This record gives sequence, C-alpha cells and structure tokens, in this order.
Amino acid sequence: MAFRGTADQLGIVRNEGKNMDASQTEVASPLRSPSDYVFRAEGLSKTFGHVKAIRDVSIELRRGEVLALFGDNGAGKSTLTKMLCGVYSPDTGSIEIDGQSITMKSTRDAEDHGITVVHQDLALAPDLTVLENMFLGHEMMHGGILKPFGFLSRLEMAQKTEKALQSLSIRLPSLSLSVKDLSGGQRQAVAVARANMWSRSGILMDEPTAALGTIQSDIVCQLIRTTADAGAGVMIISHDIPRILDIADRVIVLRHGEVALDEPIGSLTRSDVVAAMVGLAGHDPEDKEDNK
Amino acid sequence: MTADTIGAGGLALPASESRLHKILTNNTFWIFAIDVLLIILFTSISINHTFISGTNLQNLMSDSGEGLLLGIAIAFLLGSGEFDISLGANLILSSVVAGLIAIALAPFGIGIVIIGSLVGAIITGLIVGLVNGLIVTRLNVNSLIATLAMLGIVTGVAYIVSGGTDVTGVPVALQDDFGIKTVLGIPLPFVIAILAWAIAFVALRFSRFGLHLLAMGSSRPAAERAGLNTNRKLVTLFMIAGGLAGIAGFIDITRFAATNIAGHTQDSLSAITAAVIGGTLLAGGIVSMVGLLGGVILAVILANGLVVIGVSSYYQLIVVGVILVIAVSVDQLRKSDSKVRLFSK
Repeated sequence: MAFRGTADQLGIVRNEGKNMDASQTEVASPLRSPSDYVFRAEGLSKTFGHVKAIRDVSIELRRGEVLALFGDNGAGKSTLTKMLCGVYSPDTGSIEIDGQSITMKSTRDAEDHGITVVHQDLALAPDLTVLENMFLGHEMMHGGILKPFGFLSRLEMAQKTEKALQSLSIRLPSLSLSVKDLSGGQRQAVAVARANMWSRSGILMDEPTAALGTIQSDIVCQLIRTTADAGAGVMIISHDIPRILDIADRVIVLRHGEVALDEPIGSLTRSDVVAAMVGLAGHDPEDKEDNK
Repeated sequence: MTADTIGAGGLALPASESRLHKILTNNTFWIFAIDVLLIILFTSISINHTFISGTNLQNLMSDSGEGLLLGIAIAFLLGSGEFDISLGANLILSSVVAGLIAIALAPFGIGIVIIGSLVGAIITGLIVGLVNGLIVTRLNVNSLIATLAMLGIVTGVAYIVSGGTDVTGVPVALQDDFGIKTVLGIPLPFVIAILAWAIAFVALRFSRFGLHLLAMGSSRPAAERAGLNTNRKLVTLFMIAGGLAGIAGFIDITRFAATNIAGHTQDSLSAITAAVIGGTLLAGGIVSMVGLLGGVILAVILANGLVVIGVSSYYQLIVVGVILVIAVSVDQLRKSDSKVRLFSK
C-alpha cells in the first residue's frame, strides 16, 4: 500500500479553491527560491532549565512535500514543532518565511505567516458543528446594516466549507452535525481540512494517526498526501513509522535534540529510521561530532 | 479504499434519526409539555378557573420577569463554561442602589427617577460583574468559588449601603409608571424581560458573539487555539450577566416600591435550575434559550398554581427539585451513546 503519487493518480481533485497561486502548486525545482519553502529554520536551540531540548537544529519544509519528523520520546520533536508554530520562542537560531526572518509569539502569529497546526487533540469544539469549527476565529459576517451586530453569514461559510472539503475529497453527511457526533477519522479529517483552509503554505501535524484505527489511519494518511499534492507543505510528527513512510517525501529523525537523519525518502526503510532513532552506527549525532 | 469514502463509515449518529425521535428526546419539548399539563391541571382544579384569569396571567408574567433576566444571565455563563451564584446578591445591591437614587431624585419628577435609578442599578450590576470577571480571569479563581465569595461580599455591601434594613419610601409613582404598568395588558417588566430574552436568543443563535460563547464552553483550549481572547470575552460575559441582574434589581424595586434584601439569596440557584431543566448544559457548550423560558415558566406556574388551589407553595421547591433531577438524568442517559444503543436493542 503506497500512497505516494500525484493527485491525479489518486483521482483526487486539486485544491483549486485555496488561496494560493499557481506557482505554489508546482513541483519544486532544484533551484529553489524563498517562496518554494514554507519555512527555513537555522541553528534552533531551546533549553529548559538544565535540559537542552533542542541543539542547533536546522530544518526546512518545502511546499508540496510531506516531511516526516521521527524521534523517540524526549528526542525534542514536540519542542521543535512548538518553536515552528510560535508556542515557544527559540533561545538561538532564526526562522525564515518567504526570505524574511520572522518572530512568532503565538500560533496565531504562525497562522498569519501561513502555517497552521493540527494538534494531537485536534483542538475542535465538540459541541459546535463542522461548519462552526471550520470557521472558528475566522467567521464571515453579513455586511450592510447588519454588520455592526456581527451576524454570521452561514450560507457563505457553508459554501466555502463545502468547497474546502471537496478539494480534499472529504465527504461528511452534513456540515450541521456536531463534531462530537463524528467518528475519530472524520474529526481528524475536519481538523486537517480546517488547517488546510486557513494555511497559505504549510501544516504541522502532531500524531495525526495516534487515536485512529487502521482503516481510518490509512484514510487520513491519504488525505495528508492529497493536501501536500495540492501544494501545501506538511510536516508530520509521528510514532507510526511504516504508515508515515508510505506518504513521506523526506524524513528527519531527531535524537537527543539534534538531527540524526535528514534524507529524502529514496530507499529509506523503517530499519534506517529506527537505527537513527536509537543511535546505531553512523546515525548518532554524538558519533558524528566525535568523528570530526 | 479511496479518500472518497471518508465520512461514509463510522458515523455514530443514526442517519435516519426521525424528527419525532429528536422531539421526544428533547428537554425543551418535555418542559413545555409539563408547563401545559400544569396549566390545564391548575385551571381545572382552581375555583372558577381563576388560574387562567386575566389578572392571574398578569401575575404569572410579572413573577417571571426577574427570573427570566437572571436565567438569561446564567445561561450565557453556563454556555461559556462558567457559573455565577452571586446574581441574587447583585440583584439585591442593584435594587438598594436604585431605591436610594429614586428617593434622592424624587423631587425632579418621575422621568428622572426612572432613568436615574435604572442607570444606577445597571452600573452597579456591571461593576459587580466586572469584579467577578476579573477575579475569575486575572486571579484564576474558579468561577463557582469567586462568585460564592462575591455572594457574601455583595450582600454585605447591600446591608451596609442600606443601613441594615430594607430601603423604603421609594416614590410610589415608580410603581405606577413602571413596576405595575401594563402594555396591551402585559406587565411592562415582563415586556422588558421578553425583549431581553429575544435579543439573547438572536445573539446566541446567529451572531459571532454566541458562537464564541459556546466555543469557550465546549472546549476552552480549542477556543484559545482558534485565536479567541477568552479572558476578555469572559469578563464581558460576567459584565453582561451583572447588567442583567442590575435590570432585574431595578424591576424588583419598581414592583414593590421597597427592597427585599432577604428575599433573593436563592435567585441564582433558581436561575441555574431553570436553565438546566430547559436543556442548558452545566458543563458548557450547549444553551437552550427556549428551554430556559420553559424552565422559568415552570417554576412560576408551580409557585402560583399551588397557592391558587390552596396548597402550600413550599411544595413547588420539591417538585422543581424532582424535575431537575429527572431532566438531568434523562439528558445524561441520552448523551451516552452506548446506553442508548443498549436500550434500542
């Protein structure tokens, strides 16, 4: 079961309704311009008390690619991701978006720079409908004399939501269903669709398959591939190595807060990833330091 | 399996859930059904059907006004995941302030008296709400504890301001021109309360304000991650609740031309009861404004009807308590999918 392939091969509609231009949906060329990247981070470090969680990590996410971020518990995956989405500020290093060095103080800042996050707990309001969750914090209002009263333009929101779901081939029974009445896979799909709708360039996903069964995990993985094929860069933190390897274009493995492996998927196997995670021959950043 | 099939499987909600099933499992329907049954019962039993007489209907509406205003306040706060049990105390203090202002402004005519005392009551309510909101958001005190503390503080302030006794000597014109005045046969205080209810209903159902309120109650982290300034919104909600309590305080003094400091200590709990009976979730995220109306009416019908048929109104407390337990239990049962499926088999 390999999901890698173009959107056309998968029979999936490209994200024509999304707010990105044609150049952003093209396959990245070898000579990359700043706009080919969702972000480029150089020399990131983060220390909590005496613990060096992240040490001099450089990482980039390209548009249209699925980047898998693996690592054992405590390797620094979450800390790194939180720095990339504005939850933590790095102690050292810089993050560059569109060729500009930027500072993010919240996930909203990251969103303003085109990067959205799908948290492990999905961050959906269970009592609100699919439609309301898709637009929470980004509501569309009626204009004219109703404008001062802040009345929601539900029809317009529904049309945009339908378009966003359709672009990712997500079918839900109704937009007016409460999220709590959806299955786990459907909730994940809504979270991905929301992130995709408000992302201009990249999505960071924390354990997207952690709470799902086998079939639903496969569907969500395919959805992630579709999202990337439509032009967004997607970075996935996961422990589900085999499944994520099937859809990833590139793999980064963190060990003890440092990059132990950064390679295109090529012929990488699960064993290679595990070897890098546990620090076997040639993959331990400390070994590399010693060899120098 | 293709991506097209996502959403096709695993949906917990039966796709063919009938409208009838939805109605029968809805608290609001049952509360109004009980209201109607009680009206029929009390009308049948009461001598000369006095329960349904025009005068008694006016009494019912007058008695509902304050409860409905406090009910709206608590429904908003419960919807956002918060409590306010100081609403009754806020009502008391607001009525004391309104009464004192009315007495002071009496020489300037009834128009000035009404405007002055109404503004005074609303400002008092807003200040109490602001303090509640700041304690909850800035000091991170649970709203139940914060408003429990404020219940005592505000009641104490009311006693100090009033000199330890109820405020009397309020211009009778305030009563005649407002408290017991009717518009097309409907008591003015009830008109104001229904107007407030209608505005609250529309705001909750159709506006961004309502969506954000329910989002905060459904999942505070989700609301925060969506970029909502939850602290500022909570302070606003506590102030709205306080303002509504202030209006209720003003209505109280205009109806009786005197304060009733000892008479409103349980008002917050009654408001919570009315909201929860009507289908508003204590845990937040779901508010039923129509159900709230049914819950408020239920308490008033019981209190009034029992007196009309010659039974002690104390039984009203017992009946409302029993209905509250049943309403919440049925609601919990309905929400448990596994239990519902078990029963359906």
